Amino acid sequence: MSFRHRHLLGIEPLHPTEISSVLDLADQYVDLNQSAMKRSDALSGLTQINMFFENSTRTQASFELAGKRLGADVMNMAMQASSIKKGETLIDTALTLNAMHPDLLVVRHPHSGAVNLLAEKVNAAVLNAGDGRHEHPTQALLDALTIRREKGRLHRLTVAICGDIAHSRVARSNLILLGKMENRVRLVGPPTLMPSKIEEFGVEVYDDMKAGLEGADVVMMLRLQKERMDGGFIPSEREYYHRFGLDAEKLSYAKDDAIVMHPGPMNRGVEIDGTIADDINRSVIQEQVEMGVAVRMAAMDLLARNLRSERNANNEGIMV
Amino acid sequence: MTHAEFDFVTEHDPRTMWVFSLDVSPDELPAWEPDGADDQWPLPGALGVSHLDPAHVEVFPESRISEYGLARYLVEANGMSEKSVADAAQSLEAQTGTIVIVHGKAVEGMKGNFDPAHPAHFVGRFSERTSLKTSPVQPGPKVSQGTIQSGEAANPPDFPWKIIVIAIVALVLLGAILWSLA
Repeated sequence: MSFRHRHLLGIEPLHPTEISSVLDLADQYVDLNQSAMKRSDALSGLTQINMFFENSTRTQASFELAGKRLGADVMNMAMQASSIKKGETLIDTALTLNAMHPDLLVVRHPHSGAVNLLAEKVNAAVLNAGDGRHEHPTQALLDALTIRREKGRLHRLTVAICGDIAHSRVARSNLILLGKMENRVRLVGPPTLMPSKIEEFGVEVYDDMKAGLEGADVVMMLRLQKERMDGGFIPSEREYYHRFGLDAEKLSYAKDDAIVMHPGPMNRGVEIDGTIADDINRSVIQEQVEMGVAVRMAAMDLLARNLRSERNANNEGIMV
Repeated sequence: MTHAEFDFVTEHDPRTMWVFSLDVSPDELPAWEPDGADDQWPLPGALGVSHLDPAHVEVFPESRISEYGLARYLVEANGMSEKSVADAAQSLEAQTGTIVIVHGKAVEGMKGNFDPAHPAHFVGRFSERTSLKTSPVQPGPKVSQGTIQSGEAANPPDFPWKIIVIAIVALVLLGAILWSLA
């Protein structure tokens, strides 16, 4: 199994074979999760700390479940209500964590790059659970696993990522991953919600849903992140839904077997019509949640293997 | 920039960090890093000091924290005051090459100041935000002079007899007045 990283901080540093390795192992964990036992001892004896500097019930629950199913001792630290409010610096937090000797650290932070910085200062393997507008690697991996299982492959597909691209770390991680796996990526949304120089990522940019969805295999809708908007990015939610909300009429431009994805939580009636979201023939949104647990189990398993190898090598060095 | 910004701090000063930029190529960078620093470490010389504790010095390419940002690194990761960093925000944002951060502990116990020369350039000096301030006033000599009294234990507070007596007298008087009116 090829995966040679101490941390999982983003999709950017991963080689396509490493992405495939994570997905192959995640496939096995999907089977485990669908079995009666749902237990493995891959993380037995290891301590996993989930540190969420930003609220996220779904992602935190997914990581917690993943760690527990692999036998880790899992602890959640609600950093929003904790030391950071009391003025503790990120470096102090890192030093405090080192004193607790965790093995795996799952971190979500509102500022881009904060998780990378923390990873430099702690002794544990760090998983980025989303940092600012930077990356959300496990979301991109779970989306990839969902696509691969639904479409039977993860290459030569046309994937339309639609909506609030500018504020989305999910979009960024996804377009990097899908590009690495040789897919055609289209970004569809209003120019006000499109990051500058986005074409440099090798994607096609559209501001019209019908043109952007034409012949697409996968339609990935993004949540309109109103909490990150401080100006007039859209005229109104009603207008936004009219132009960029996914409904049956717009979806008809995609391929007949196109799947509909959304990272959640959804704003029904804003970026997606409720009936499309609930259409079991097109929507794979619930499958994404299921794949999320499996992908996180795989990522933590692989990091734990590398951590144990590193520690064994260090111990041998000491013994010599 | 003032000369005071180059001065080392005393133990009474708040935690301080100095930021410098370094005009060196990526190939030359390893020689400047504090890991494995020895007598040949060129950084103290470039900063015009005789010695630096490498355990409290950071040398890294700006690209390493470009997502997070140098200003945020100083404020949120290291607890420097927002105001002092905001004053230097433009020069911090303009940094693109190699960054040197010297923490106060790197020159702890030393007297003197930095005197940077090429390839090092001063960017700013930043201090920790402090919510509690200790008084800089030291007790004068008169305060410490005097005699020590022989050891009588301090008396516990007196029981408030006077208040009780006054209250009883007032009640008696009030009773007498009421009785005379009846």
